[in-house]
Amino acid sequence: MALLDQIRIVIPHRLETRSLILLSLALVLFLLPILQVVSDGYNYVLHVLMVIFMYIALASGWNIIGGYAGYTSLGHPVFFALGAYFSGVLLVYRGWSPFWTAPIAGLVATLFGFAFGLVALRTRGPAFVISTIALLLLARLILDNWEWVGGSNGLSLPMIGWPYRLYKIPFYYGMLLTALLAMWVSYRIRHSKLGLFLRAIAMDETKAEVAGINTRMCKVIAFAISAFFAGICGALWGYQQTYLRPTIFLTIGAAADLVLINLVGGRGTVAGPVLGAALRVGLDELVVNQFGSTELNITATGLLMILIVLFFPGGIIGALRERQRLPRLLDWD
Amino acid sequence: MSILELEEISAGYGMGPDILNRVSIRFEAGLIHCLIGPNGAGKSTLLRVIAGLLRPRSGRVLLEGKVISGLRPDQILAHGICLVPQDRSLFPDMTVRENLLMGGYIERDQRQVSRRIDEVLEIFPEVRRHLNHRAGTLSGGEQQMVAIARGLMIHPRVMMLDEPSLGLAPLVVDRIFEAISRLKTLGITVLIVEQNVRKGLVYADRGYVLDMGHLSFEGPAREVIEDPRLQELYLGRMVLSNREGQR
Amino acid sequence: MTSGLQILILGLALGGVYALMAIGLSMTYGVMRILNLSHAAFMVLGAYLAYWALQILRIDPLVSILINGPLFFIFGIILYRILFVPLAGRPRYTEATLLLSFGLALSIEGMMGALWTGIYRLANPPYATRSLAFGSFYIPEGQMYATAASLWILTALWGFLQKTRFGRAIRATMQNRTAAQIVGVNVERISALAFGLGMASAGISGSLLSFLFPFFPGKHWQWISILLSLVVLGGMGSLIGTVVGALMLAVASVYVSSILGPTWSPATFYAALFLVLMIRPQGLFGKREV
Repeated sequence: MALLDQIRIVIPHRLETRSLILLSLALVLFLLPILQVVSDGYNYVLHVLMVIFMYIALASGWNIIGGYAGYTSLGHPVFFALGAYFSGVLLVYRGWSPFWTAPIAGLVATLFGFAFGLVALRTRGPAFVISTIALLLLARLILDNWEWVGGSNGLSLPMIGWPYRLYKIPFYYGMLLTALLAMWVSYRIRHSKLGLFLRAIAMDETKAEVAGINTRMCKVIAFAISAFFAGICGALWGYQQTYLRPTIFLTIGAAADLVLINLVGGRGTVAGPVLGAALRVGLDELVVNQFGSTELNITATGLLMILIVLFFPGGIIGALRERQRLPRLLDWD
Repeated sequence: MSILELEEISAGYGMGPDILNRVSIRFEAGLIHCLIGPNGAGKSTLLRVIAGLLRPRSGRVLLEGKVISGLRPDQILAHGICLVPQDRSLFPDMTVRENLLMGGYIERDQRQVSRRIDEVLEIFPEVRRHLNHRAGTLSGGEQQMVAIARGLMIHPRVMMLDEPSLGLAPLVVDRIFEAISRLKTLGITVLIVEQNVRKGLVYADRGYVLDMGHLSFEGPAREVIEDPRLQELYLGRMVLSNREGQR
Repeated sequence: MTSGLQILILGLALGGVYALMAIGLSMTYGVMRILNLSHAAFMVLGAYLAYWALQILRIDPLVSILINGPLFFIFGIILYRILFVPLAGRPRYTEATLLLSFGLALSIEGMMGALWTGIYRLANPPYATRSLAFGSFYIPEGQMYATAASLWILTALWGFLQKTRFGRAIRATMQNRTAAQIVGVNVERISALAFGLGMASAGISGSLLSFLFPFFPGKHWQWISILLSLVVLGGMGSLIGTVVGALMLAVASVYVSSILGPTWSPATFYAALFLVLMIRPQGLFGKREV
């Protein structure tokens, strides 16, 4: 505590303990790769953290349309794949590094999301989720049969030219920055007019419309922003994997992951997807990798989803808040 | 002898505030009762509570001394209480005949139901020529007639009508109220909620004035029309709402 | 390249089956505003049951309709009572039902995968490989039986909905839930009945699916999006719309398949869905906003 007090004197703004803890956590995460540089053996830790960052970015992005606006999307793997193939193709055919093209991949996903949203979000309610399933399957069909990008066999990417000991580090930082950006954007939207409108839409779209909100545009913008993060993550993840194949990106299981992470953590809250992502990857490393059965994995995902919808519709954050037990550390709304 | 009695009823929607606040009313058998009051006074809510569509938060509804609050809508209907809601609530894609059949839904004996249709058509002969038309294609007045006829299918003891004149031309309104008077001759107790205060009270035996979820006052309809408190209630509101309109 | 009339014959025959597959989905949405994403998963489950009934017990898939129908009906009512009744009165009810049924679909998919692995199956009754010729046109014998069975069941369903007390109550609840309550329909019981009927149609469709189309556990996602596409085209909650949508899209998909190859025939449905959302979001027979 004494140290915290001292820092408080050094830093001119008044910072709460909560922000200090979170900032120091971010600092630790930023400095962590030094360990790997100094002594090998931390690649596994860096990898797991990188995957957590990726899911944080993906799930926080999903939450903008799926949580704030309440429009469940099962189409986000398409943006993920779009980013991966966009940057991957530029790498293979032009030699451009995905680290530079990832933000552009994000923008391409945003543009595509905007265009698709204009069509799919014209109506209220369930037609949207139907159209996102169709989008996912259509994208899968196209990529499976498009030989220029490798068809169903996929596309192999050249490895990043870094020594083995260091090669995780750029991906680690890339995903960390994306995750921080996603959390920041999610927080800002939650506290903006757009966020207010989106939550009004989630509660009662007809009333929101009557109140003069251009609900369609709000939804489309939320959807487009949400696609951005999936695009960036896809670009980085594909490069990291060194091959692109429709089966690893375009599955309902991947879409279910994002839904489940948000449901577990708490849909429509800033901290929910972050918490959910950490739990999802952590559990995966601890439990699923030990047994490694995909069928059980799918069944467990499904059962968990049913239980949460029935008993904890607000997820962990929602359940804690309802009981007034939510620690300040996790109250980011 | 009161047929229907509300005891200290409080009710509201979802997590919202009480729309009705400890309302107690008695309705007399065989009379036409007209409930009036400004918007949001809780008139429609009162009818919904009696019909069992909304469970009261506290208080009881008694039919001839027996508690009926807490029963399902279909059970309350089986006790002979029917509701004709504000939007008429017909089945738009069904024919008028099918709508009448649905009116007799709780009667399992289909021959009994067809006999009732004939009876109802005798009381409301004007409905007969629309029998095979889809309900959604009828005019507002015709729909109201069908809705009342459909309510009659269960031989109700109490019929509740929520704003039967809403959106209808004056001439049509007269026809509807004339039809409501026919209900009285059948011995049915009638509860009307009416925006059109004068018209409602002219046809009614008793008037009840609701305001802000309370029963403000009641009495024989003729006296309620003349009551200065009524004018105060409506005029006061009018001045207020005019002022808000200018803002 | 097949002739236009041949395409029409095959398409309409296929459409009859699609209509049966989708009718339960449409009814469940219409009556209760439940968007049942697990409908096709139950269909595939029904296909597995029919497949094993043929393999082990030598029961013809067409006969297994008589088993699957009642079985899934009862199962549906139980499922409705356990899973969907607790959701009643929730804000954003349809959204909750779609998440719940999404979880249900995943559970069933995983369970089927664990039990019967991911390999393709196709029941092989004697008529599956035969074709009937009418002049210069042909129709696969299995397809003809499946279509006949579908049309027969759809007609029976139509009669039930038009002529019986419970059938009318189902239609009434679809058109105006409050009004149905007002005339004394116990909408909870009617909802359970409608859900059971929807599931029964999924089970029966599964019997037909088992010998018409190769299937594996994950296949249901393609089916559900095909079925939902034609439900949206017809107008969500409109039963007539669903049948018309099924016939139209089936013909279109057979046409696309004859030009671009069978790989692309599912794309017909997705493209149609996007077109509908662009041009007429409420669908052909839809009235209220979706």
